[in-house]
Amino acid sequence: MTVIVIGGGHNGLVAAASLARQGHGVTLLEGRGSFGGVAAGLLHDTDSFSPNIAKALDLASHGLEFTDPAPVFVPSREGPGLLLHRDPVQAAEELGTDAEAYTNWCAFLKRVLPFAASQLDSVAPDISTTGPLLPLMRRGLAFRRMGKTDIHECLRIGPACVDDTLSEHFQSPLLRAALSARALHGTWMGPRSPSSTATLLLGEAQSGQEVVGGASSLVTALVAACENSGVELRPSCRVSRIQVSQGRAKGVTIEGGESLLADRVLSCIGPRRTLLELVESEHLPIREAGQMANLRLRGTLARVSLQLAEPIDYACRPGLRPKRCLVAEHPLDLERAFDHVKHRRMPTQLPLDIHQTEEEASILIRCATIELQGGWSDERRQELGELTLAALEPYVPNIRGIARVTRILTPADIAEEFDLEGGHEMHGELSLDQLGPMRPSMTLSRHATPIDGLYLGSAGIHPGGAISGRPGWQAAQVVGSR
Amino acid sequence: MPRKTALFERTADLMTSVAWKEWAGYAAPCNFDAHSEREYFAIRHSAGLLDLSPLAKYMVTGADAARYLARIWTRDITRLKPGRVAYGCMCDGDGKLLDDGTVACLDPETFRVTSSEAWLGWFERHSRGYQVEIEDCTDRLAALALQGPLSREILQVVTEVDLDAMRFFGVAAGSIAGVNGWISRTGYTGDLGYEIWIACEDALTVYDALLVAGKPHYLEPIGLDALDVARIEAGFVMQGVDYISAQHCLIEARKSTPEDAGLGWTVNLERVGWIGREALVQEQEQGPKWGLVGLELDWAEIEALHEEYGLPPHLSPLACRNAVPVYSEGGATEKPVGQATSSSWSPTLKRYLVLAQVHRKYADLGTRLSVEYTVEFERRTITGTVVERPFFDPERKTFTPKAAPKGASR
Repeated sequence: MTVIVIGGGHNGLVAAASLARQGHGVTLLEGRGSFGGVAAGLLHDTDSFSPNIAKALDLASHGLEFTDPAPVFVPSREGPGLLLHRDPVQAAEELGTDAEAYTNWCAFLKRVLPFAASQLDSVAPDISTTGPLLPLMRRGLAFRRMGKTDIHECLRIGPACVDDTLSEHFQSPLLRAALSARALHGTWMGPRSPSSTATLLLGEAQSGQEVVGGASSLVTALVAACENSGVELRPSCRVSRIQVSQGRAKGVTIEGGESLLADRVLSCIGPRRTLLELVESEHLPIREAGQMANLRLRGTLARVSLQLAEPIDYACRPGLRPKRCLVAEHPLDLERAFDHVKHRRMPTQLPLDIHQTEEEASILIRCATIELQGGWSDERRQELGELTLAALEPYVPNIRGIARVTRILTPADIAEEFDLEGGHEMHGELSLDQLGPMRPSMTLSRHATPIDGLYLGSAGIHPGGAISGRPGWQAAQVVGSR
Repeated sequence: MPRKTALFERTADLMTSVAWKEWAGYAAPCNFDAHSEREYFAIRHSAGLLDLSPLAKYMVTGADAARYLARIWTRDITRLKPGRVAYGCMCDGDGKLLDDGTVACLDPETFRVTSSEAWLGWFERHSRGYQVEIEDCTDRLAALALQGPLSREILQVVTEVDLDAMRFFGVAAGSIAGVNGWISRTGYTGDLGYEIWIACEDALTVYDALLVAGKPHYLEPIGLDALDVARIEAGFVMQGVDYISAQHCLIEARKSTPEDAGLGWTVNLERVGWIGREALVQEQEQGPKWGLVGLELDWAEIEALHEEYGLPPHLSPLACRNAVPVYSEGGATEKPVGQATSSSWSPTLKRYLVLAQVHRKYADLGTRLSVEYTVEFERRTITGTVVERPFFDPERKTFTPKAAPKGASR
């Protein structure tokens, strides 16, 4: 069987490699000049990439290695800051009075997350009235095995805001800020938004070891795996139409007019763009067209790159050279930043998510809205760079002396450069109504579409996530089995 | 509170009865006199003039206008030629009827759509991906219906559009009483007739000119009561009466497919890409459940029934829109097999006519059914027989004096 995979981001690469290893003839089309999508130059966290997929694609043979994630440093103006290890034993010394609570929290996660993780590693359940009951019962039983106490706790905290949940356990605002920041990735929420605990649990369920060398190493290994398994890789090949005839996908038309035919088409770009822009309206039932029109994907991500004359030294902890740093001393700093997003304004105080080496720093800002009032302009871009340095200055007084801003990507730049609708790195916000069997919609979450032979496999589909590879992998299994 | 149309001052002036009803948010005359009978006979013997302005009207323009309309309409609008009008209907994603109306092709990229009620939201929701602009012109565009055997002669007095050459379901631009507008050979009476589309500010000029031109021909201003009798004789269904738009239904059972409502002929299941098709293909495979039939009630039975109570037979001059159950013949003690949704005595045909939605197996011509009929507060039944629809179908409806011979090149 021949398969065209649209979109050479991490999910497209995973899907193409998997389908090729199943023995299918795969062509991978990427509109940009290079592969990797948001994993190549935008996001840095690789700790959600599934080790099972790495193993199944034998990525180790292409040089992929995993390591324990680096601790995150949260600097403070008034104390020594917090160096937060994931492991509670390593973290205990820094946490002081919160140490025991953190140990308990980690133990709770260890008990409940395997259930969530198992859901993320399988195709979304069919919960329509005509779907089979047995798989649902199996899931129900697995949920019940968590035990009454943990079930009740999950049901209680899931819809709650992450700030309330964490405040029940922890004193330290630095710790609460560090933990809640993670819950906000890919969302349009602040730590006081309802259901942000659910996205916290979702993020935690996907996280594990990270890739040595970061996201670019992962992309290198995935491209090698594709080449090695015989995938035809075609960069700079932008699809303008998915050809549909008699309700069945026949292939694609590429910009410039070339037509490529295949038995199946798997789209690993956003579901909305796939169905509303690449498919002619006549071929899509109005139910799905309506669902996609209503999909929310308001990007809030920006990125500032710094070149460093000397390594960043945090005044509160001289000599510590953390690889990862979060600038936000209190969950309310994150909430206030989100308030500005909500009102389409530029935040006055930016929380920062920093990855740094001796020579450079890459800073993600997760509170810059693509819907900025008045739009993004050169001036607003410069303002973003200035605000970034201003946010760092209280903690790194000499930052303006040692750092030079080399690149600023506003949400609008990200939408343009990474070909992301709405500038959203996950092709759809993470929120309760856009998760699980509802991601991206009740009838599209199981990868198949109303158009025979057309499948969806981007982060906009269950289970979503940042650089996880799971949607692409599961889509490849569904495509391969039909 | 109902609004006034552009013709309100004139119709209010002509009316002696003060009989208004609300039609799509506007005040519309029911009749102009103590009785609508004169207006009805004008439609069938000379001509009647109706203010049609409350009809929902849309201009759809743009390079993809035809392709877009072919998506939301059951008819293939891409094949509609300039100067032609198509009657059709609109379904939701489950193939259930939303509304019916006409699409007029004014030029390859300009269409005028009419419907019973407002659909701008629906139209816009499904316009994504099409290069098309949709304007609700209900408030800007007035419409008049001039219907009846003498309508051609009357209208020809005030326009240079060659009406003798205009075919049934044709549309043409031209000057009418000195103002620019459109004339289409369409209507809701099943008779020879025209509809006139003009800007609201010109509406009075045209209306008055037609009254003057029509005077020697006994033209009458008509209201909705007379129209209702005429449309039942013509066998036309009415949204909200003979079928309920799916968007107003609280339960599935109330919704109708085009087949259920007798509009199956507007549907081409071979054509792909229009809203509702997939569901209707399934319906076709399983066989439609319902059908719309025309019934004729047995007059002798009606007389006999009244006789039982010592009454002469009584007939309302108005059409009846109160739905009543229809049973299999003599099966009044069992579950109904359908419902009669519109009925009227036909003054022209001298027959009692009924439009009914019944189970398919009772829809064949000649089938005898029992229709509920109330005399002296007692519910009884009268035998109704399935007959040909339209009940009234004069040759003049479609006859074109100067029609181009078949096969002649234009």
